[in-house]
Amino acid sequence: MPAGLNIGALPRRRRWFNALTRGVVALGAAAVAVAILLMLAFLVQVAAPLFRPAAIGPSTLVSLPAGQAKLLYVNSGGETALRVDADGRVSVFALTDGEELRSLRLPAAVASAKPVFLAGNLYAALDSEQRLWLLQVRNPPRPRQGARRPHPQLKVLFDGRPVEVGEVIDYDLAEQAEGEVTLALLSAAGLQVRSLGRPLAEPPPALGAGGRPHRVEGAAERLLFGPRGRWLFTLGGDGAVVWRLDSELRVHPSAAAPLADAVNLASATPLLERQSLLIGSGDGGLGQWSLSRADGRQRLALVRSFPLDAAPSVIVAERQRKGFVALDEAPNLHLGHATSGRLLARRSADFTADAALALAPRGDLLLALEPSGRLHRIALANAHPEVSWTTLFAKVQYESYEEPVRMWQSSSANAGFEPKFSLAPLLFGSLKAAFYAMLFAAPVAVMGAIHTACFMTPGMRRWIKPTIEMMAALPTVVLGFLAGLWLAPLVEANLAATATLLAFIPGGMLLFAALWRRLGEGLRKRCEGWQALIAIAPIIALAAAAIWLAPAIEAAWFDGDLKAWLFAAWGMDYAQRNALVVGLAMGVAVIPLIFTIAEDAIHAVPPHLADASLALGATHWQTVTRVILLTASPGIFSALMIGLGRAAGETMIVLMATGNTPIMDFSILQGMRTLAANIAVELPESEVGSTHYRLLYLTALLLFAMTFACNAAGDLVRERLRRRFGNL
Amino acid sequence: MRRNGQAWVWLNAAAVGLCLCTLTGLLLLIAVRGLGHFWPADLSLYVYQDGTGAKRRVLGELVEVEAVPRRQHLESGVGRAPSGAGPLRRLVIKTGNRRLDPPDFAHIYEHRLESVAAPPEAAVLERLEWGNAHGEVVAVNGDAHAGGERLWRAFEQGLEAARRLRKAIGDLQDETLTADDEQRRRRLQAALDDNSFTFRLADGRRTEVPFGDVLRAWRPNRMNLAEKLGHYAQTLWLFLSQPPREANAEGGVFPAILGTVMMVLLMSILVTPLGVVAAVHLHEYARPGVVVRLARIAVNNLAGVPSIIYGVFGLGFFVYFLGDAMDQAFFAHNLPAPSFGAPGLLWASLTLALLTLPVVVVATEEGLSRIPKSLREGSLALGATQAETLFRLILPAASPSVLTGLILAVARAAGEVAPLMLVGVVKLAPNLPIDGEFPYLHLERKFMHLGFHIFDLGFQSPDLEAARPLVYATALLLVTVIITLNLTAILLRNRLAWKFRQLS
Repeated sequence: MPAGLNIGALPRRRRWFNALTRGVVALGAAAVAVAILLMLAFLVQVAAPLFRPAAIGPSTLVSLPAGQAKLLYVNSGGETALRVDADGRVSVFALTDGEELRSLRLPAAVASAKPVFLAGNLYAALDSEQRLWLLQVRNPPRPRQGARRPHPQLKVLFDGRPVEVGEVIDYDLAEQAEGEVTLALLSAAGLQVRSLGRPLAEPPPALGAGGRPHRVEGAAERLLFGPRGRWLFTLGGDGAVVWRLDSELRVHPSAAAPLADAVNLASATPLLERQSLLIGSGDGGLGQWSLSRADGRQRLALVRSFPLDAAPSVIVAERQRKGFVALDEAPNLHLGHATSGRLLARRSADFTADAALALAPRGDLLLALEPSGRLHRIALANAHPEVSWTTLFAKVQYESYEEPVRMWQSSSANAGFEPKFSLAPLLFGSLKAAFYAMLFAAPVAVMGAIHTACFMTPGMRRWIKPTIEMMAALPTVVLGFLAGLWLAPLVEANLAATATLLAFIPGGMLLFAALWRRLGEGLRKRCEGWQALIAIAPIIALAAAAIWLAPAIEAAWFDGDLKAWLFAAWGMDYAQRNALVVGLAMGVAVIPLIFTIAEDAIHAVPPHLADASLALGATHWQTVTRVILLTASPGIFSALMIGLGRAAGETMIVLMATGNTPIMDFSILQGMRTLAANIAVELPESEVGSTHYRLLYLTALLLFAMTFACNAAGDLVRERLRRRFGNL
Repeated sequence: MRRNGQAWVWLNAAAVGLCLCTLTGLLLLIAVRGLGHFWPADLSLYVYQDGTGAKRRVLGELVEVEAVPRRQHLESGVGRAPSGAGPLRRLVIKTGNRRLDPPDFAHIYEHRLESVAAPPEAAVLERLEWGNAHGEVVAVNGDAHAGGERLWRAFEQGLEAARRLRKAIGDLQDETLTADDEQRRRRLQAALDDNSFTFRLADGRRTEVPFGDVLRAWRPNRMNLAEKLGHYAQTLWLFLSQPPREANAEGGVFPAILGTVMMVLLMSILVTPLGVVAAVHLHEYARPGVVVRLARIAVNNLAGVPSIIYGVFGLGFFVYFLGDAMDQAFFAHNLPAPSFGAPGLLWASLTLALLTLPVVVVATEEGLSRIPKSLREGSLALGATQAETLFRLILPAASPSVLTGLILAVARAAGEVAPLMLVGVVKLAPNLPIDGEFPYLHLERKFMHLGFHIFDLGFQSPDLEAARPLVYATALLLVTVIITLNLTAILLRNRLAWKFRQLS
């Protein structure tokens, strides 16, 4: 602006001051711009890792003693691993450099070894003489902070004595409540479960006998404990059979399901919590068989399949998530996740197919131990396998659900819980809340704006406008509190009166207008412009009539109980905190916003347009509908969009007045959970950097995008149509 | 009818009327319920028959009269209803006396009522714990003092003595105690515990109540209007000046008021310079063009971003990112206990400063655009630099708009709760954000907030019925503050418009 000013002629101090001011102002403005951009960038930056593809890293090699490992398992804590070799050698080594920290030797060769389900760092090894050894690794706390090496302890439980099990086909162990370990044995005689007592108790208990063997039809080959150690699965010629274990350790067959011919039973691996088994098949497929209820009986059913390159030979399940690693015969390594139904990454294996595999507890490291003693440490970048567009928006088959559902359930007391991360119910909730709020607010606000701008006396308008704007000053927390604690019980107790009220006021006002016409011309003229105040009287009268008549109406048409009638006739259930209450409360919050913008737009229509219309003989009302409203329509649209954006993002009212259940039911008598309320409820308790945390940021972004789209649409339309009508 | 649209005109008018009714109704509801809480309501003695036919007496204040459908009465199986149609009337009486005579509320069907009386000696005790108690003082330290006024005077003296003792004990606890002090404290405590009075409940039971358990006592049935007004003012003052008691369900809201004020002040200090500078840049310095238009759209849109998103950003960026970095750099000696790496006052103020930034920018820009161009040109023509024009002319002329913007920002911030739930508000802060301990202003502390207080009391309180009046009172306080702020802004804006109309 000061283009012609000769700044050079000024004294130095003034010149400096001028430059300084200019610099400070620019800096401040830049800071504001940076803050705004930073906000958006930060939200994106937190949410973005959700969609980073998983990767299987390159191998780094560590040398270990040679030997065919029957079991390789990373101890909890993730610093050491247990290795059980075929020749009876048991050792614990450090993951970082392979240094052997503890070892012992069992007296006979080991046929197989496995970890005890649910128990931490408890293992069982079956030797060639049908004896079962229980092994324990303990990680005592380090003597001082920063001690370099872990110093685990390794011992054989039951004072170093084995459990005689006899000739068995397969076995499995599970820890039940209070540290009691049960041993399930599958032998030619059938299926038998024995208790081993509490092997970790001091002194160790004597071995107890178990229930009698239950005959198993057909030729079962594999035996696995199921969820909580209360279920058993046998796999074999008869298919997959589910058995229930009762408290006396007797087994009861539940239901059988046929398995495909080509399945590789040796590869069967339970997923976390053992609700599902992963079973490979010869044709290169990998199926997830999940425990589900059909006809009142639990059975294993194939819920999804993963196509691999070749038949999988080894499957390893993750220990904190429902993910897995599969090695096929090609050999290729595959990284997959059950819930999201995806294979996340693959790469060819650079080790022999007879290598033993193990996953670190956090699922970020894969170990492959070749018989030659070469240990491959493979880093897995797989932070958020459970998130995909499918799991976020489509129906997903979760474990122990009868059918695929869209569901949001982010946490549970149960550690092995399968999180359900569908954004659909939340998005639906936000839209539903906004819809019902607009249903109430839009007509009232726009009609109010029309009346205030076109029909009200100027003196009254000066008062009415700020008064209605004052509604915006009511904090939403107060509106939410009134909605949740005052309105919701009131509506619940007087549902019929509420419904009658909502129907009476518009209907009654039309009736009132018809009666008004019978009044004398003079009186009508004198009341022109004051209708808004006069209308308060019939509104109050109508409200009183509605409340007074409601019981009679309810008795005459709705069997005396509207709620029961709605349920019987329409199947509509009633939740105390529902969309009706939210719509009314949020309506009050957005009415002033819509009203102000719409009123400004209508009032800004050039008066000569209206004058011309009136001069041509149109009535006042015709002028309003055909000229003024048409001209102001972009402004009204903009007001509605901004109101919609506000309603979709409002937090406190929905938080306090909806009950916050993430259901997808459009009924006006049901609650919902919105994106905004969900963030307010869950973010403070979410672990920083977890999938849940990042997902909440994603929902914030989604909400941001929604409201931004609403506001921008409002702005754009207003801008464009203003230009079009501008030359009027 | 269709041509002149009378029906539509009336429908439109009804929309305005409805808005007015809603606003008035809501304000009245909050005002009546909020203010009614402090009124020393009369106590009445209700004698009635309960469901088993036994005669019962309760002393309490009438809360409301409910209409109970006959069917519900029948299903509850509490005896026969009187003949006739229509719902039955049931009185809800707040009996108080928690811990002495549960439950807190009595529900009495009107047809079972035998008599209602207003015993003049009936007293309300405001107890330190368990809420109010209703009954009659019948003896002080076992001495009936011949009853009447003399007894009450002795009782009030006992209360006053207990109040002094409590204060003395409280003073002693503040400092490091010497053995001497400790002994004195024990003596005072013993004196406090020793004195008690006999309190008779409505059903005739007597209990000994230590004076130390009672904060205040009054006999509402004997008070005249002036006394009641005095009592009302005192209760109101206590509400505003005292910390909450009993999980926020009793006592005052002083920490919440202080927290809100502190947060809003800090936010104003942060947002005003930034907002004004941004507006000045947009309007005075930046060359009009695409960038400025984009910036304006961005600021406008920022005003429409849901507040919870600011909270999400504040938690992630300020608390977890900046706060952690500050802890590592300056407060490493406190780790792993976070200093700034946890929600607190500073982060809440910063978050709200971002949230209210558009309000200040828009209002300031509006003010700047109202200043006639001729003023600027005149100043520049007289040889003033742009900076001098800005500081001597434009900013003073725009200052009322800046103030309007700031007031609106403060009103918005004071009513905002959702982002604060993420970045620093707690239901009960152990310490005030400002106290006598160095460095006096504790920016890292969590604080209480009126809006959150409402949410917490209404939705997370263990005893909602008891807390409900307090929620209304707090809501009334908040609404009053915000509406006053908004009214000030509107008046300021109107005066401004008038001034500039004269100017141009």
